[in-house]
Amino acid sequence: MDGDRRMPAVAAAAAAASTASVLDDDDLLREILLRLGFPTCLVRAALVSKRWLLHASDPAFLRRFRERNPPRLLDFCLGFSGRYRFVPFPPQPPELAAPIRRATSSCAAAFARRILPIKHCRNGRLIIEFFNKGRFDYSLAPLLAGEAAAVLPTTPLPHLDWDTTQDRFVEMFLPEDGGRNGITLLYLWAVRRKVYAELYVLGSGGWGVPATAAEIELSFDADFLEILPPIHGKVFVVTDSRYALGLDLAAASFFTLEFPVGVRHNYNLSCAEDSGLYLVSADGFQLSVWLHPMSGDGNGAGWLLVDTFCVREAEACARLVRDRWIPPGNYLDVAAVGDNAEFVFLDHTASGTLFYVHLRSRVVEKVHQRVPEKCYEPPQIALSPTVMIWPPIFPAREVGHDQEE
Amino acid sequence: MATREAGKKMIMLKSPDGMEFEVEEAVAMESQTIRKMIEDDCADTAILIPNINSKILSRVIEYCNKHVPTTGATGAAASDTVAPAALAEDLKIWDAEFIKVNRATRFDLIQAASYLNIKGLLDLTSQTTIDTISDNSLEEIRSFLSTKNDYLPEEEQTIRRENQWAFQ
Repeated sequence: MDGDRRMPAVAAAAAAASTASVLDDDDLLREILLRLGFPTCLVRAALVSKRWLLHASDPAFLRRFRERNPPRLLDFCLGFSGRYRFVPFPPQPPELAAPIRRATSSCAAAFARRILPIKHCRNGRLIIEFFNKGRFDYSLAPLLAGEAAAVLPTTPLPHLDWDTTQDRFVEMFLPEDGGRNGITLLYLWAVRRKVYAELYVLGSGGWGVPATAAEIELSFDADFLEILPPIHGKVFVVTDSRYALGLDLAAASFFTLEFPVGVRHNYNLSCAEDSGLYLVSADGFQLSVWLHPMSGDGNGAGWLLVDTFCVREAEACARLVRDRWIPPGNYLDVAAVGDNAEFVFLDHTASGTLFYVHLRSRVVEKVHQRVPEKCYEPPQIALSPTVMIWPPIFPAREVGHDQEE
Repeated sequence: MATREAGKKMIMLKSPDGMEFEVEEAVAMESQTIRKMIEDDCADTAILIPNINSKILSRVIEYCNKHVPTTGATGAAASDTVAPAALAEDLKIWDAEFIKVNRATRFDLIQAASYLNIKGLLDLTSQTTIDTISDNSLEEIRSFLSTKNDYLPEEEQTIRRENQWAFQ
């Protein structure tokens, strides 16, 4: 009996000592946590002990984790013909099954009663616009975040000039850091070549006075087509000219951004490392990816062509062409671009086919097919990719420091 | 490439328990730590590897030997003749066999891989620990690692609530 008991005890002690020496070593523990791969696993690991939490919540560690494991696309919400579809994509490992289920069911709940325009989607939350008692109101719907849906405080009325102008936009953006505070309301309008903007930031006391107001006199004629969500604190107004109009939200200043020759309105932007900007444009089946460091004055010379890809060469698209699924038009709308131009969603409007393109691996997949609409105007689709929440919300680190001392 | 060409530079690695291992310089340089020592000219012909006993060191050398890019005397990669995919598959099978060791040895290998800075070996040896963290309940992880739960119930609840998306 004694011998039977001792042997495993010795082995267990050896293993425990070895385990302890590995996982008591802060560097080794961090190396292992870094390899967890998914934020879901990291959050669970943080609950093992406060020492683990201290490592998992360290900002430098979180930066390394994000670099190694960029937040993943979970699904996308596709709006067309007054309907929304939630399509889980691409196929994900089981570690992400819980967040995907959560996002899909939250989406279904948010639009259970009626279909409403999505103003912005970021970091597991949606802002939805709805018409209520003669005016527009907005609500915050969680997709992944553990909170109840909430109607936002009534928005302040726009400036007096508002009613008399043609080009006018009301936009609402979730903050880039993923928090709930700091939702931005933007009124942007133009009187001939003069463009105005008013910004409100939602704080604990409501919308308050306009945080900033800006204006610019454009040196060119342009129609405004849409406003893209903020990238590095700047929003860009897509125009029908070679320029986009940029608005720095913090500085409340406008600037113009010239695009490379040949790039016209069928493009989308996404953030690059540091303060850089990616531009993905499509000309027929030909995709071009440009990078702008954004450190200079924002002129066209700053663009660097970093990648080109003819989507037609990919099997998914080749079949479209070969099997004549597509009507004569070869217009591919750049519907959305992921961070760091990792992926692109392309909409072949003539056939109602939505493609996903993973640029680095050159994988092109057909992800959705809708009944093409029989109208001359290409039908507008609304596409909101849902990306995994980042970073996790950990308690303030002071708690950890107290523990250490 | 079974025979070893003459003129290949050899390096002597010594474990603290007095064993000596003669290895090709290219194999030793799979370790970024040793590579740096060689490049900085800190290594003459013998390098003492502290903290890693001969049993673990021999396994590490076995790993490096397998993973060193196979180049002939001409410098042309041997993978010219073998498809890279097949080579990678072969390595994967070999790795899976290599890591079939008890937990104590695995942790020794993690430490060695970390000290010698061999990324592939660190990835491989950490994987089981990562799987343990990914696949098991918190209680199981804590008991496996002999770690005490030092959270107050409400502290744990707060983290769970704030990050509900990570749980079921």
